[in-house]
Amino acid sequence: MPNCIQCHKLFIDPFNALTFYRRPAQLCEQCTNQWEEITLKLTLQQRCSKCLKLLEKAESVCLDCAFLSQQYPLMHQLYCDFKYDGIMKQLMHQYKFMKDVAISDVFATRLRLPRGPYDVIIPIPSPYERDLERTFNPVEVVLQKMKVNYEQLLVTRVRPKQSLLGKQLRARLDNPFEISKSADLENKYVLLVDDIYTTGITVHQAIAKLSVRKIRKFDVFTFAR
Amino acid sequence: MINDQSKLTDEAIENVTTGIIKQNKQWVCQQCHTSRPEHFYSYYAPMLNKKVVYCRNCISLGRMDNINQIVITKSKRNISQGIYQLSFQLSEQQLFASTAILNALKHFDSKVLYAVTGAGKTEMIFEAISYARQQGYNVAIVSPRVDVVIEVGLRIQDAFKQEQIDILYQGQPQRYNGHFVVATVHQLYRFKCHFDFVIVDEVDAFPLTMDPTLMDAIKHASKQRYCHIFMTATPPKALLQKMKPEHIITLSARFHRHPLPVPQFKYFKLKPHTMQCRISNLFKQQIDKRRYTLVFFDNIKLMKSCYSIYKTQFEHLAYVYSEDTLRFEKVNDLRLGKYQIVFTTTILERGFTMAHLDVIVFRSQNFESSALVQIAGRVGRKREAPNGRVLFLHEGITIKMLKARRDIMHMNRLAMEKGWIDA
Repeated sequence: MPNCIQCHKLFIDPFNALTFYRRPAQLCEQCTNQWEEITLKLTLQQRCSKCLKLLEKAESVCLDCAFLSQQYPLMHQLYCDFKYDGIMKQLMHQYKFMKDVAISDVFATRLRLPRGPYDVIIPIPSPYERDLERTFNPVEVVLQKMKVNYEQLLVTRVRPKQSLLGKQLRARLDNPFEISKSADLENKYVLLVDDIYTTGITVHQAIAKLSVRKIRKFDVFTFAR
Repeated sequence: MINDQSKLTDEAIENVTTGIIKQNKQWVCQQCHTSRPEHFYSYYAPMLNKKVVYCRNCISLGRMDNINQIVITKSKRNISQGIYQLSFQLSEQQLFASTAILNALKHFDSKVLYAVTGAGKTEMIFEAISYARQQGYNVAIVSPRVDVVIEVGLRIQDAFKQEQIDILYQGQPQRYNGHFVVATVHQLYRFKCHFDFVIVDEVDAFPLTMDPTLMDAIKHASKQRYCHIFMTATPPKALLQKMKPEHIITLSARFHRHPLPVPQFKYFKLKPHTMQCRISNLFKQQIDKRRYTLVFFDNIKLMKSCYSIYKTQFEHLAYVYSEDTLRFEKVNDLRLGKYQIVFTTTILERGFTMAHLDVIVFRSQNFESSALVQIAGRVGRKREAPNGRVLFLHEGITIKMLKARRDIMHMNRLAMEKGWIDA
């Protein structure tokens, strides 16, 4: 009997003809259900096809995307499987604020990167000072656990916590991102990876900086939204 | 007390170390004292160029790792007046126990208080707490259950109006200096050699019985000379055997001098997917009699499926379980009388008091005898409504059920012999 990597309880993973070729389960039934609860069901609800925002009844064009496209080059597609709610919120808090790095194993088994033939995968950076204080970078550790080849091409400076600011304020602040390495990105297909997608301003600020390098297409992947 | 370096003001410092240290080739956490390898997690931190190890056992109280320093401050004492108000007189039995506890404290003895449910355990400790505060002893009242901590905390705050009481659980911040604390056992990890007088309510509740490091936490939080009082209505055998017979105080009567309600057994097979009229009739009767009903289940899934069936017919129906996000709100609403029937798991088996309450246990063959005694003990706890109904619906009587009933009847008989109840 294996231990669940999320709640550490022993659970039974049946071994039979149906499960023979499947990878062994990492999470117990209860924890799997918790993840099931926060899974985004794209077909059931009316959502923006680009940023997956839940659309109001009267909203035919996503206002968020329209707002972003005024200022920034818009991403091609957001990929995200989970709501920022329930177990995701709880784990994210334990991971980023309590600094429980072991949670990255749980994220790594649950998250699936989009398949697209990406040329470069770039994580959204945190300020160096925050990484130093935390002793790890939340996004990069998960990517390492998922055995993804990524390239950290961006740096950012310390700025007020995004979660404390309103949307208007976030948009008005100037772009904190800088390109740190010289790399040839011309005509490349890029995937940006971040932990939480709320207004999209953070990701699009990064896109704005990178698009100077004549990138062909941007996709974005986040753990939750 | 374990402190963050940044929060210090004028405290005397006992010791400065990293959060975990290596002893005999093993990591030992300075907060929860665990040395089990599975409690530690390590990773490589590129920005420090170092391997970082930290303890996951007590991470909810702040991460203990091998790089950040923690400061252990010296324990201080502080004398306060320890005045309390009680709106009623202690019963003969409560007085007896209250004096016994006070004597135990004066001699720094440890005692088990084996008192039936609804004996008025909380009131019995007031006198000893008051004495302890006058001597400047640091007092902690702890319990493994959050619900018990909240309920006891309210009652203590109500009685000791002038004291500075810290109530600590989950994310509750500490407001005072920790001389008088009501907390979950986990919170004691933060205190080292600090308390003179520790009262453990519901010692036999989960997770205290399952987790030996929590028992150690109580010991580490206490000074060298200490008085521990363990209170419960269902002491586990191991605890009774560990203590000498003269250190066990048995209290067999309730404070209102009425006997404990004895459970009724009835055969009933619960079908989770259909409405059964015996149940709906039973609920109707309860509502007509204006009684509140707690319905206990052994399984959350079963409870939810029953809820979805009966909520169509009964308006004031709710359910609550441990991982419920609205758990505290629901329990509070229940206290205010917003629901007439509440489906629950064993989380409400302890520390819940309400007038005009009856209980029903479904599939009682699957419950432990201590749980059944506690559940039966929810009924008739108030002076104005000392009676009620306890119904065990079973699919076959088990020894555990018989033991629960035998224990309850034994206590009633004992109380009768001592003249502590009027029958």
